[in-house]
Amino acid sequence: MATWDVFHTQTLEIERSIPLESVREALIQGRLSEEDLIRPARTSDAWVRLMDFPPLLNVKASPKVQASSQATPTPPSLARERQKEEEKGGEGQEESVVALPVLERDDEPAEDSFPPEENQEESVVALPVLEEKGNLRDVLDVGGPDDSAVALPATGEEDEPPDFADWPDDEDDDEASQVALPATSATALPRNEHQDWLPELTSSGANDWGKEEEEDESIAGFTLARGSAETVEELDLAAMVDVAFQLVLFFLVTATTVLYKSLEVPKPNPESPASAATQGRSRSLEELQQDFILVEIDPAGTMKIDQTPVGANMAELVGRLRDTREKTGRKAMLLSADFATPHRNAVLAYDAANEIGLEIAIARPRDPALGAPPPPRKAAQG
Amino acid sequence: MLLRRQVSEERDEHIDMTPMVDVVFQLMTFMLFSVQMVSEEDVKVPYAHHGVGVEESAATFLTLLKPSAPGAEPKLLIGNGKGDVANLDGARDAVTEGVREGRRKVVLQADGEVPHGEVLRVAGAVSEVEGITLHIGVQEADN
Repeated sequence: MATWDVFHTQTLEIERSIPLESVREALIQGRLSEEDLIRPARTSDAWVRLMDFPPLLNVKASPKVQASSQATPTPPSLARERQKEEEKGGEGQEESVVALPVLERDDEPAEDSFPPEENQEESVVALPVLEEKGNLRDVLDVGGPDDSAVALPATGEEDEPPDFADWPDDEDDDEASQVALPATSATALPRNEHQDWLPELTSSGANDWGKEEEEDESIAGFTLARGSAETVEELDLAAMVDVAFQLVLFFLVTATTVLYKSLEVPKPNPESPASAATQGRSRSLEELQQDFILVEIDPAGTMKIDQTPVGANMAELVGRLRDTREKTGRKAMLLSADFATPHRNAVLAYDAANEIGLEIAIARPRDPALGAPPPPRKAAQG
Repeated sequence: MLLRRQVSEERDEHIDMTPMVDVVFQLMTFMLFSVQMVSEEDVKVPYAHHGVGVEESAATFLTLLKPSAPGAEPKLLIGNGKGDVANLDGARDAVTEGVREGRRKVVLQADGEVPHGEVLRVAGAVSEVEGITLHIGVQEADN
């Protein structure tokens, strides 16, 4: 027998392998709500709300269905179909037979509850159109199976509904409570293609009506059977990128290399003037003056160019050096400054030589602390 | 037809200040860690119109401070404006260490009042180290 899994939407619990009749009784008694979900047991089919569950819809519709062919709220699509047929002359009425499910019961023949087959062909029985798929339980409470001419899925124990909590485990005991639809009967219940457990439809008219409902059912099943939409948790990198770019710009702007201004000068000869003189490397001042423009600075800062006094300022010094270079063709300056002259005077001479592109040679002065007579000067040429 | 209900939520139009605050705090932290307090240097190198720039990380700096009293010897420091007081041997060792580390330039930051002979004596001592170029520290002259 077919059993069902029921999902309690309120308690988020699943009860498995429940007979359909037990589901119906639980729904009537309020232990199940219309929002609870159902699906065939041991399958992975989509969950369907009980209010949309076709077998239960059949039960819900039954109290209002009249046995005769006149008392039938016809579904809109069916009504339209019927109207079309009437416009055609009614010749197709025999084919638009819509019947409700026929229940096979062991104790009661199905013929007792259903009109004869020959009558079914002539009558149109349709499910009532419910304005709202609302309170199914109210519908079920209003009338019993006896009030309806349409057979309901019988339980065999309708007088004493089984306790919902005591659903039988043995499926063989519930054969009588199955929803049985004979192949000869027609029903207006829709068939969901995604649910192969639904009863088959044999009537062409019912199939036409069921197509529209089928679409809605499939959409409803899609929207209701799943949980909330997945939220994409992406890390927003915009702020991080902003920070990175700003830091890069900050580094580019502020990362200026600190440079110290300096004058490159030739290295003095590490040898002392005395030892240099011993090795015969010293040259006399007259010899050096043939190659160099001699610039002398005394301890007071007085400057001489080729033994001619010159003002100790940049402009006059540069002018005199330029004139001397042009007259004599010498392209190097020999600085012979006293040991005690301030360092800034020597730098002034360096700067003036750089101004006009003269090479620089530095004569090492004798340290007065040594007390020896001044040896011949030795120059370092750069 | 049953469709999923489209929920229209009102957008939050407030400006998110969090990134801006993050940036500000990061910049402040960076500046706090990177700032170097520059004090007034004790050495006043001579002015010059010409000269070349030397990076501090690419040279070994020696400083000659002017004598504290007339006739006294100037103070030699290993470093740029500050550092340990050293003699000629110490300056030579410092330059040797700098050459070993790739700093082949020697900048002698001598005060303008330092005797010229003292500058040349230090320059002659460090010139014993092979492979160096000697620079005299100056500052930009006003035109």
